[in-house]
Amino acid sequence: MKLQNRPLFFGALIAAVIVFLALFGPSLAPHDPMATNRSFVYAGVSYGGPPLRALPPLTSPEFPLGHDRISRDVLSRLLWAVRPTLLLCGMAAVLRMLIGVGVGLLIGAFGSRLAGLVDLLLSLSGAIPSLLLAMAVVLFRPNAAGLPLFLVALTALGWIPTAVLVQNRVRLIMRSPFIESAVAVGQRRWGIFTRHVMPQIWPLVPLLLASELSAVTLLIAELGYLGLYLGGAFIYADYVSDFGPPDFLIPQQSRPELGQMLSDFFGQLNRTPWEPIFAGVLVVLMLIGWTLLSEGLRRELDVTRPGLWRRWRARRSPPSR
Amino acid sequence: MLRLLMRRVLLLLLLVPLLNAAGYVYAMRAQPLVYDSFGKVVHFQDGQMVTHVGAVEQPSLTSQYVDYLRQGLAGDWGLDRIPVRRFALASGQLLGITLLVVVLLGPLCGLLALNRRTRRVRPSAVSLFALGSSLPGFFLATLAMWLLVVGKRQGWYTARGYLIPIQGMGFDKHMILPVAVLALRPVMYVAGVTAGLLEHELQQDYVQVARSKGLRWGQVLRRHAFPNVRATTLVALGQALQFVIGGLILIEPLFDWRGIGWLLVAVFFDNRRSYANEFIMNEHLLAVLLPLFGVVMLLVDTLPRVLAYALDTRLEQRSHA
Repeated sequence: MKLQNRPLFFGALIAAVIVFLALFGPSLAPHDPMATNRSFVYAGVSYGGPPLRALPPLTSPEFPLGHDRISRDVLSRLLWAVRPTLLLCGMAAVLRMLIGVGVGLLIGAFGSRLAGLVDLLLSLSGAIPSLLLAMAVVLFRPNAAGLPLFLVALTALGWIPTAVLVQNRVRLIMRSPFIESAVAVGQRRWGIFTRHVMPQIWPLVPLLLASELSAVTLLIAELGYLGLYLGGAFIYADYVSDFGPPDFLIPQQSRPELGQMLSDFFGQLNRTPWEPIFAGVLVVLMLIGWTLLSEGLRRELDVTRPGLWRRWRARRSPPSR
Repeated sequence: MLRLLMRRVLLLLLLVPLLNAAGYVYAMRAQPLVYDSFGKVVHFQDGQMVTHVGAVEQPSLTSQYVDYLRQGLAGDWGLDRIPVRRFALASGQLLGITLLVVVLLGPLCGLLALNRRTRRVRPSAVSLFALGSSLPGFFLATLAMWLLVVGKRQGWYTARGYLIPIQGMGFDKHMILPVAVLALRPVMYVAGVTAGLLEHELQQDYVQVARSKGLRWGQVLRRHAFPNVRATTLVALGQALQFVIGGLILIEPLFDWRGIGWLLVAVFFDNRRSYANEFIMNEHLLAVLLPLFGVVMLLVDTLPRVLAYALDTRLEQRSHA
């Protein structure tokens, strides 16, 4: 069978892999993501926390992706990190989409006077980079930056383009001749809305969700890179001598999360550059997955293209006489 | 077009005081994330480190802002020690070259992505655009910098130094990496939009007629298809340029390019570099930087839109409808 909609196929495949990792990653992790291996010896060489060298990737079969800078297993941390990141992405994307679709539907159907307000909001939101706003929200009270603050930061502007898109779509549908016919036969406004308008909006939802996921993942990665990620931190101390103050004090995040693993690249450049690179590759894979899924769904919904769903329906429908 | 211009001017008049007030109030109210050597949060007031917040009786925020405005209108915006113009000029250089690259390469890549036989976008181009739009600029930059560092350590290139400078400013080869990283995503976005629009246009009957009359591929594109998508491509170009400006926040600190993005990050974070401490949560600086960012973002969206309306009057009619 020739693959007609490749972006949809590959996007769905990558999304399935990401969801699988989020569900079963922690069970597949070979080691505890928090455990440090301070005195790991392989092939006669000692690896460990500072001042020893960190274990590089593809050196030991026990730790295929090596250690991070305080000797924790990078593979296990990556497998654990997908779940919280995807949960945060999912929550923020669903929230953005729900607000956007809800506001867009209401204004499109009932509030033509409010449409100007949404347009104004869109123009205002275009004047502020979303990363800048998210950064400002999280840094307003950095010591209290929990899930609610992150959700506000990720959602604050993101819902507006969705609302405008849905509103325009609803207004377009409301001007169609079949709506005029429904009004002429005496259907109520709410009935027209639920029976004729909403069914034409639902197919957009997966497409909007995929593009929101892509936008949110990128924002989380950018915030993480700047050192703003969800969860607390602790200070890792290592002693070279038996007494006196610790020789190394490194702030470390307790639970693995992809944004956190991307942070402090320059701090890790000399010791363990592979940790942010592996985390970055995983983030890029997620972004490619969502982008391809969104593009594939857009193509599937494009009536001028020979889509999978339309071919299947055409095969099932009896030939016209 | 006049209506659009009027709306944008009004928006500008609304945006500048709004962002100025927001920046001032934010800097006064936010708690900067700066720790002293004992791990305690350090507070700043007017750019100076203070040990006891609230120990001195402060006038109300409103009266402080009114005083600030009064001084500002008298010509003193509190930025005597900070050369904002020099920072803006540095960002302007980077932006100018990047915009040029995006404007030239974006539509060109879109044209090259089309398959002459099927008159559809090549599947490989779709994947390439998805990959390009998904690659976060900061990750690409860190990968490139890491590769250059590794290359230097391995002695891949001469002892004169790095192949391309990995950090620093200059209107020379210092621009290569920042421009490449800033331009990649917008170029791919514009190329994707151009290719998608052209694909739709090339399926129209008039193109079929033009082909059947014997017009060559280039003539069909140049005379018929491209003029119909030119205006919409310009609008997409405006959006892509907003990505570039948003990207400055991450890319400038990464390459130590002392521009507006670098300055903005220095206001939010204690990056412990040279004279960065006088920037942190500096209300005078934030109150100027936010409107500056907003105005530039709005202008790069408005100018292509005005040009698009001038090129294709159908766009204006559609927007009124």
